[in-house]
Amino acid sequence: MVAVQETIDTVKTLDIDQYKYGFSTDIESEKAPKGLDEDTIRFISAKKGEPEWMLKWRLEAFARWKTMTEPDWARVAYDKIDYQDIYYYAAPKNFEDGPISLDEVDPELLRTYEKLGIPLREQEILAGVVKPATEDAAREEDLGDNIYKSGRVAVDAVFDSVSVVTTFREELAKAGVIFCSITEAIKDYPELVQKYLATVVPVTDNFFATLNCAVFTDGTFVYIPEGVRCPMELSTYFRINEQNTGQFERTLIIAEKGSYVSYLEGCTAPQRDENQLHAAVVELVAMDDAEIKYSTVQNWYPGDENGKGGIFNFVTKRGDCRGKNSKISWTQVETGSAVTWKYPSCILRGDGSRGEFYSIAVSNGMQQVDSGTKMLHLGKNTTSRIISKGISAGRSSNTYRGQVSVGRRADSARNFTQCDSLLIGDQCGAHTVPYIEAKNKEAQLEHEATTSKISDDQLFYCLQRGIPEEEAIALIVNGFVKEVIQELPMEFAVEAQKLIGISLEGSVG
Amino acid sequence: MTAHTPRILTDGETALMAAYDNAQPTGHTKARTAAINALRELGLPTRRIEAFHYTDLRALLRGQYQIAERPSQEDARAIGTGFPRLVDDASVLHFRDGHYFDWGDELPKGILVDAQLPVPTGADDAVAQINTAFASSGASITIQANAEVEKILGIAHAHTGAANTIAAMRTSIVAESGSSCRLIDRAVGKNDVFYLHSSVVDLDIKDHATVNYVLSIEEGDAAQRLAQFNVKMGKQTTLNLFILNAGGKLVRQEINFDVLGEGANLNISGVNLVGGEAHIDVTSRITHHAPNTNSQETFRNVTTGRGRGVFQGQINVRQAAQLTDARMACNTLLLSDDCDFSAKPELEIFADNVQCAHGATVTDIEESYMFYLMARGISETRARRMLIKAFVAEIVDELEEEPLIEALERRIDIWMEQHV
Repeated sequence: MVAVQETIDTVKTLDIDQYKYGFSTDIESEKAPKGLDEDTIRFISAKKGEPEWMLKWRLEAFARWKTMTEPDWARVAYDKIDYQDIYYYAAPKNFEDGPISLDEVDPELLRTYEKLGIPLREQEILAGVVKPATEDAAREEDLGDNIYKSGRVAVDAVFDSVSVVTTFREELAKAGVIFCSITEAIKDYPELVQKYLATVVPVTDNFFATLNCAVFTDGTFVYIPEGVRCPMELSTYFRINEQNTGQFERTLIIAEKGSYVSYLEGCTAPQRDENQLHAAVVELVAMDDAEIKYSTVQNWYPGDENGKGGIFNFVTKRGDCRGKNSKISWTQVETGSAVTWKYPSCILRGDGSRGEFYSIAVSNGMQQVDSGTKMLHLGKNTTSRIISKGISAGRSSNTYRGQVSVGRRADSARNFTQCDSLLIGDQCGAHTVPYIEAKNKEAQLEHEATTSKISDDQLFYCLQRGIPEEEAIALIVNGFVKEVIQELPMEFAVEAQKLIGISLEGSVG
Repeated sequence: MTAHTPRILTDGETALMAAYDNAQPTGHTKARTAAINALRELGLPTRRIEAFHYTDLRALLRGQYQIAERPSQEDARAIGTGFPRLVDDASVLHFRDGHYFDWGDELPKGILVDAQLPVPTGADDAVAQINTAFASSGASITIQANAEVEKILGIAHAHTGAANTIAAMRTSIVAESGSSCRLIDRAVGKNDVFYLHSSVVDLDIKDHATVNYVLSIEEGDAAQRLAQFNVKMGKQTTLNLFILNAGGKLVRQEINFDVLGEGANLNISGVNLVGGEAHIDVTSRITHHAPNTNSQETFRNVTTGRGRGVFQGQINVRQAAQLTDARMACNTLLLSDDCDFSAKPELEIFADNVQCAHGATVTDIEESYMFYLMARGISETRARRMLIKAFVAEIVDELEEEPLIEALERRIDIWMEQHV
């Protein structure tokens, strides 16, 4: 037990001051006045130069939101949010006049990205990320290798609320891929936006999603045309910067028939004292034979050791496998945020469609995580797989909450769920709340969950072979999360491992 | 949990209130009033209350109700003949329509019974509140310290068939330290008769005591059953609980365990047979408060017809309960197109040095097994029954008491003849 005690001690000593990305950048920004009313929404809409239908849509959502109550069923506790004490719009000032070239970008901003290691400049990407393209391009199944094939990553960086710069657009345009901010999409491709927006997460879906509809400031729009395999990984880095700014991102990804796209989302936020609210909505639509792979590494400021500050992350993410044999795969590594409320889900509507959810949730300090997924089997022969790994340390609380439901018409639906929790220290909690609902006799559902600490046997085995204790624990924890790490695109996997290291610093090598 | 707001009563709620107001049950008035007022104010739980997520009592509890009167001796005796005993050699406490009948059964040595309604405690949800408000009679059973009681004590409730009645009873059992006993708690009723049977059992197992408990639920197929089984376990205690659910139109069986003493050992197994139009909900909550405790829970469910099965199983490990070993399994067979099953196996862990696991599966009968049997000339129906029987018998066979196993398997066979 000595080893574990030491781990606990080291985890305790892990001060949040070590939070690597806890800096803030001084850039003038333009804000909407604090608070939320119809005028705020008109301000946002006007700032973004939106068409009338969009404003109307927002106002309808706002009217609906006013009648809704904040959900309280999740196992998280936080001070009541004063929605009138938040800035709903903040744009870095020098981007007001629309897209500009990289050279004109505020050098401070570029430095921020540099600190975060974002390959923003094209040449940097070309120089840094190119990998041997030896794989057989025809092997469509082998998703993990896609990064090698293309060897590049396109970044649509979001600084606070406005898209700063978009790279690789030309090359993407050649393939017919639309990759732009949602604001541009509303202006340039209104018919696509109108056709798909809020068809996966309805406007009235839940309190936070409805709020997002009313006030979302920016986000990403991706459209992959029929039969196109997106030539590169698409990536957005989110970054909350302005004090007291609610960040309301809106992402919409549409993969037409037979297309493929892999999208990476990574988040870091500077250290702040006051709680910051993040209520994003992500919608994915996969048509026949299309595949969307959505990966997230989330490392927002988790608050200090007493739980003060930190980001509230209330996100609605949902994918709709609308077409036959379509596939949506969610992979997430959650290490940050004070409070996480997040359930990336799949609606398996098309016959033969497949949903996947791979998750690592690490909580330390006073962090509270209530995360999981929903797999709603509606079509025939639909399959889903859930692998969730929770690691709790410090005084944190880590809950997996997942639903697997098989509808009446979902013949031969299959699900496999595995939820494992690892506890480090006796002050933390790990919880598993699965909802399993079968309405079709052909359903085959399997669920298993375990909770344990790092076993003495495993540790003993390592120590006996001369591996230092810290390394041994790192080894075991890495082994524990391996199944999920494997699902991440290469460079994300590296970053994810780093983040897990930072989050559990002291206990993991 | 979401708080209720006062609102208009449903027909079912109104009928319950009227049943109470008309009968004005006496005894334990304070507790009764508090319970009925809580019901009046909050109403029956809806699916917005997490613990009732799959069993919306507000929607499901419909009907006309009046408190069942004490049946005549003849009726009370006659109903028993329709239901063959599970075991021959047992002393039985007889309850009919919620009322106690003393027919001079000799009690096993070491067991004391006071046939009075025990003081109702802890009405924490609608199931307990209904019982507290309506309970007509009950018994306080004491197993004396260090008594090793071989003979089985039966607690038998039968409903005599008066339609639209509420039969409510409460049993309080204390197994004093070092004692051991075997109990069979059985509820039966006629088919096609609408009644509500409410039952609460409080079982207190003192240090070093062992209790073997069989709960056989064989309510009539139009009946409603709302029941709670609350257990406190002391140091080095053992409870082996077996539950058979083979009847009732609406069953909500709550089983709550507080594992309070170090070294306590809890074994729960059960078979839920859900067919016809039945809605059967077993909700279990195991809380480990003390270190070095074990719990194993295994349920096998068979769902067919238009049946709706629910299993909610929460394991809660408090911070003090280091070295807990808690395991739960819930396996379900779905046999028809119109049935469904919902499971919510929940883990809530606050201690780090523990081993906890749960598993849940839902599936149909393996076709290759069917093929194997049918290829050998066994009819489809028979093959199905054989496989279902094998699936549930595995659990029943662990009881290690031949006559009882046979009796329960007979009961399972009867159910299969009706539903498979």
